[in-house]
Amino acid sequence: MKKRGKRTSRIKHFLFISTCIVLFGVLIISFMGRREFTLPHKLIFDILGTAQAGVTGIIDYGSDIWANYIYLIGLKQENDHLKEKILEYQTKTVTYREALATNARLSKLLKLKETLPAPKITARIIGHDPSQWFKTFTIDRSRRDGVMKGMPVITTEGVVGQILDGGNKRAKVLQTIDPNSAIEVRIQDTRTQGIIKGTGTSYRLLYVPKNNEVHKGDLLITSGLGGVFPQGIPVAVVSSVVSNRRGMFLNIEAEPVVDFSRLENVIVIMKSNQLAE
Amino acid sequence: MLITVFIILGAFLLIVQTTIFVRTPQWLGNPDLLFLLVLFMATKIDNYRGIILTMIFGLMMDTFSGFVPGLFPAVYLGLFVIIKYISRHVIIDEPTHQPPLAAVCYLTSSGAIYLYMTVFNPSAEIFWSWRDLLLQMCILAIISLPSFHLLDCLVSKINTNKNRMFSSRRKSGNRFIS
Repeated sequence: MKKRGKRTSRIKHFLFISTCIVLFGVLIISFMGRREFTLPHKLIFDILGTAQAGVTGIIDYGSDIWANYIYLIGLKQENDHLKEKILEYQTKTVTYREALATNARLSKLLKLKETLPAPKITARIIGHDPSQWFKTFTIDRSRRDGVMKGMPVITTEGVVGQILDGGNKRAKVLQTIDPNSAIEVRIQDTRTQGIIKGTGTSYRLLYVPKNNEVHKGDLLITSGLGGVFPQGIPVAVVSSVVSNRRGMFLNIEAEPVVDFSRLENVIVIMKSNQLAE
Repeated sequence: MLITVFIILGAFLLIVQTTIFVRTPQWLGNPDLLFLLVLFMATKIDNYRGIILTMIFGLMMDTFSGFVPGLFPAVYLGLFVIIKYISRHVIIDEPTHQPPLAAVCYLTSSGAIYLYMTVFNPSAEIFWSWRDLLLQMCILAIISLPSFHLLDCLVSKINTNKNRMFSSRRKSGNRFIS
């Protein structure tokens, strides 16, 4: 009797292990090399995304109440400060408008091809990546709104990421600080080109030869060469430059211009990207 | 019943992780509660229901984290099988064993994720930070005791309700036999 019980237990154990191995095999084979959502993923994404949007909405509502009523203290000083800022920016705008007019006139003289800016759509971030290994977030826009894979995502401060994939109601964005992200950039002042790669928390600027002058505090902007991001969007500020004795290139670290921990709303540039397809 | 309750609980924990915890200060970390739930299932729930739930939680995590489909179901399944195997030979479901179990399992699964990416997705990279990893291990070790206790209570409550349901059905035939 005891022997039979032991045998049954062994068979059960064997069946369990076999099921797990088969499942593991199926998983590996069906997902290997894929980087797109499958039907179950899309289904979960849409169902849980709705709940996620609801929770984020409640939190934002609470934060708004806090911001609207409790933070009224010191509003007068802030208002005065902002009025001063407006005056400063108005003066700057006049100068820039003049520069823009000159630019347009010279471009016409040089017969440069005119490019129309791509349409943009704003989106709200409804959830962040739950794990510590990837840097992604979810937005409340999807294919229904014309948001497609590969489209660039920015804020008024600078570059944020790129659309990865999505369901019918939400989309997932890969942040530029993720180690899988790389953007072609140039230093705004010197026009030196390089490729900026995410390190998880900041950036590393690669392939800048040693004979180039790079200084701490230099602003890095998108070069527009990769075909994904439009030209001239701020990406990062150089934080350290090291020239090693060996190697051809400089070791450059850069800090993002965007504070990724405080992101709430983003702008999606509705620019189709053939490379992503 | 248990599967439904656990799916709802898992979804709730994942939503909390992705919406509320990300707004807390960085030094508080972002505890991986879904991972703790998987760990609990591996120590306390039977094989087949455990597999189903592990796969569902893996898919959920896959959807919201990263861009490599199949990564989390595979890692969670591996973790589930290993813990089940160990629990056949060693007692690991005692309260004193839970904090070290949570910490060691998190470290192991992190290693497994790194290995999976290296073998099956060599072109992709993952963000590896020892500081974050150790912080997460500590947090999980600390919260594992109360979490496991709460989950234990939940499972016993579900089982009691289930037994009551069945016993009330049985009673309807002959009221003299209790």
